[in-house]
Amino acid sequence: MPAEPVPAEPAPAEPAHSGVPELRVEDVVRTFRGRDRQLVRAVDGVSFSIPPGTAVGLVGASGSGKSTLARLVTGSLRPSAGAVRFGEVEVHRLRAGALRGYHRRVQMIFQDPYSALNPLHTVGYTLARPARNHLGMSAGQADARVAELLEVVGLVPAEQFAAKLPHQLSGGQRQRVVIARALASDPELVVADEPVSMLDVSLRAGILRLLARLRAERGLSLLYITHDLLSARVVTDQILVLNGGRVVERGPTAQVLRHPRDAYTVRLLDAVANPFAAVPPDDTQEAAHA
Amino acid sequence: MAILQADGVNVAYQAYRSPRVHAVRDVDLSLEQGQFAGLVGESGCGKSTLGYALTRMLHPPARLESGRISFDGQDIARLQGERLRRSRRNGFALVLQSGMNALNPVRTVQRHFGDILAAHATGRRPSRAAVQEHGARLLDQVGLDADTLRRYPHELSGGMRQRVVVALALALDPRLIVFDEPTTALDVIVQHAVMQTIRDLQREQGFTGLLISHDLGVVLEATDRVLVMYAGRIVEDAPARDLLSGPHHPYTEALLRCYADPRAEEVELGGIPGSPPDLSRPPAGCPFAPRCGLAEPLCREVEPELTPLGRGLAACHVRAREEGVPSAR
Amino acid sequence: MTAVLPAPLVFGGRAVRTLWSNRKARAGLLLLGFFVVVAAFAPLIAPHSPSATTFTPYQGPSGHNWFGTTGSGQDVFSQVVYGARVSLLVSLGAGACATLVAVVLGLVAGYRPGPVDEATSFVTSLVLVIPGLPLMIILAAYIPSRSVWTVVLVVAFTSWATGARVIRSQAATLRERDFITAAAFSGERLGRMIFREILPNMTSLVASSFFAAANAAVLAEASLEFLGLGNPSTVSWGTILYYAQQQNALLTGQWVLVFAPGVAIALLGVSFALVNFGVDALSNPRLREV
Repeated sequence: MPAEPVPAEPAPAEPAHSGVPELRVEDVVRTFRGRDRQLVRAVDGVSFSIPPGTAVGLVGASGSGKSTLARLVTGSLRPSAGAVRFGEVEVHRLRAGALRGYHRRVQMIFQDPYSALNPLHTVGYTLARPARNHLGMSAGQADARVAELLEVVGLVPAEQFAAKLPHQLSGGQRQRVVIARALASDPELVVADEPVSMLDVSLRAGILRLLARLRAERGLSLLYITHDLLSARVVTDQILVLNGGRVVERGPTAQVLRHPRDAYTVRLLDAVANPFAAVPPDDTQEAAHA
Repeated sequence: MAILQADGVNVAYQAYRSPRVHAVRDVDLSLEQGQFAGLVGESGCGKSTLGYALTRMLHPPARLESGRISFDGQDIARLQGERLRRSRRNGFALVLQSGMNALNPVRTVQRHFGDILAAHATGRRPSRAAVQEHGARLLDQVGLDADTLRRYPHELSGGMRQRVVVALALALDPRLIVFDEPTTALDVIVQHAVMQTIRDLQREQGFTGLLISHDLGVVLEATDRVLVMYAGRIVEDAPARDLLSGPHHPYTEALLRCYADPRAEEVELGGIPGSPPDLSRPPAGCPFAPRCGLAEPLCREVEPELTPLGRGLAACHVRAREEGVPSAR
Repeated sequence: MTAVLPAPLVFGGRAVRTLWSNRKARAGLLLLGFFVVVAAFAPLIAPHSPSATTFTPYQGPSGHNWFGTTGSGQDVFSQVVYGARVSLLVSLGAGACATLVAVVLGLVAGYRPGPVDEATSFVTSLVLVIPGLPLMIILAAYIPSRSVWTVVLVVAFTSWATGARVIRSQAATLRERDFITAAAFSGERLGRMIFREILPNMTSLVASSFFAAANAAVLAEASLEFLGLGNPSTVSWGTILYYAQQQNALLTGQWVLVFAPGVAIALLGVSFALVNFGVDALSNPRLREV
């Protein structure tokens, strides 16, 4: 058996939650054949772990490799080299049937509320499928579960929403359905790929607060992928900054964002549309720190 | 003198067999020469519709139902065909969200410049050398070098394409440029750079600019004056600095709380519960009342008018009363 | 949330209602319905047997024979009425066969990129290059048995390729949509993915392909019969034209012999084209008249 490489990052600060395993990404590489047949290294030797119950952020601009990493974690893509482990499970080696079982435990929240739901299926149908497939529920049990999920994400009255089609819902409501679907199979780890980027700013806090609450209540682990450092600050405990497929900086989120060391991190921070930095701060804004 | 003056603009969408959506409701707007104003609001507030109405780019099912739009003193709301086209020559230009869609994929950048200059040429068709020279100059202004002229759109990155679109907008030396979400489709780092280029250009060249965006942060960084739109109406109009330090309208206040500095010691992210009203059934009274912490019975019955508050305008009964100003006709 | 009626029945009923709500499609449905009724009740509508040679040949329209008689003394009106049967059978049959092949190949090619896709696309392109009518003529000429079924198969064989290419494109596009990935995360197996997630979103395209193929089949069948490559003893609009040409109908002033089947062929084709205007709404719930 080949020796396992030691993950090169600081040990998690929080104690492990019993039952939910740790996700470990070990020296993962993923190449693609890009335009003009050149090999592109979308992910170039990344290692990190998600301790049980924590929220880890992957931040970077487009092309940084964060979406590719998300798909490597969910098993949708195989790494060209390296390993992805969820507890004892070797995610990078999973095949069709076993992959289905893995998806009961590791779910995904998608970015675009306008294409993440099948336009021809009611909310009730969409939410019932994971309950029936992953949890083996009967039609009646699944209906009850659907009602429960809709209440959890704040779409009430549940019967009304269950009968709706996606085009009858607003963007924020659709995203809540997407979150509800991700929770339907009672997962242990949720990968959220830019879950609020396509929503109006006034809606984001509500969705992010929902995610935080669900995480706390259910002891979920969360992998949060975004280019928006503000939402990363609000949601995550640990953060990794990606550039060109490599991790350029990592650490506790507040620390990395307040005292960035890498130039790329600083560029990302500057790019965040921050009205409070545009104008010299008044008395009510943040003071300079040592 | 106001270069763009709009009075009582009403735009509605009327699709076959669908209810009529009153997207822009009785909007008055005036832009002074050389100003860079921002029009900000969330999905469905009508800002893009208003932008298109002002530049006469509305397409069915959107219809300009009433209102006067004067550009440089000339009423353009009623212009059609050739006279409208000619008024565009030295007048106003529009920069759209998706540069990739605005550029013809089978023509080089140089040909794009050639097309624009030829379409509005008064005399003979401009020579190739003239197009090249003019094009290179414009590209330089947006931070691209001259051999971009020889490229096709697909050979350029998103940021470069958007810069080309801005350069094309500048080609006819317009007095007014309307930017509709010019950087939204771009990667976040590129967004920042392109937005800075636009702002610098406006300062150097002095054209009047109107920036339409859903992102209050971008608008506050780039513009001098901000107009906040909600449910088809302008609810606040103030200098950017004043808006930041002391917004008057509760919606603007709430919107500002949705932003925060990720570098701060404590970060508190605000949100606004509820959702904007359905404009196929415009509400009575103030459209923000259902979501407003300050709402009073008057707010639900009478729609407030824009009244002078501080150095700008805001449409709020409660705030107007605090200042001792009338808020309704 | 749970279906009360069997799915195909609900689907079919809703499809007809959706088509009915579009004005052009409604006209098409009515016209098509007219032909279906004529074909179904042919024995009741036609005053005489179409092949009975009991009348005076080469007669123009009269009280006995509304469309006149053929050179063999057959009643043309009865022939046109009974001819509807063959034309409908062949056009719908060939259209259905061609569409079925197109859907199967298109889905197989579009759903999974790789060698299967490349092989299928290559074959499709090859068939597309070969001119349709000459191929049909050659096939029909060389196949020993001469029957309606020959015609159906020959027509189907030469018209599946266009549909296959279009369906492949759409399947490939749909495959990338988030809700398909989400369905996989919900634990759906391949069968359900294809029949409940992908195909329903392709209904408009499949229906459109079908009506286009049926339209082409009407003309193709008439062409083959007219050229004498069908079974001359079947009564169809094409064979009426065949005999009309053999018997120099235009010279003998019997223009009805050419006009009547020609108009019938055109109208049947028009009905398919009209129905095709309504199929967009089948895959877009927003366009359905609620």
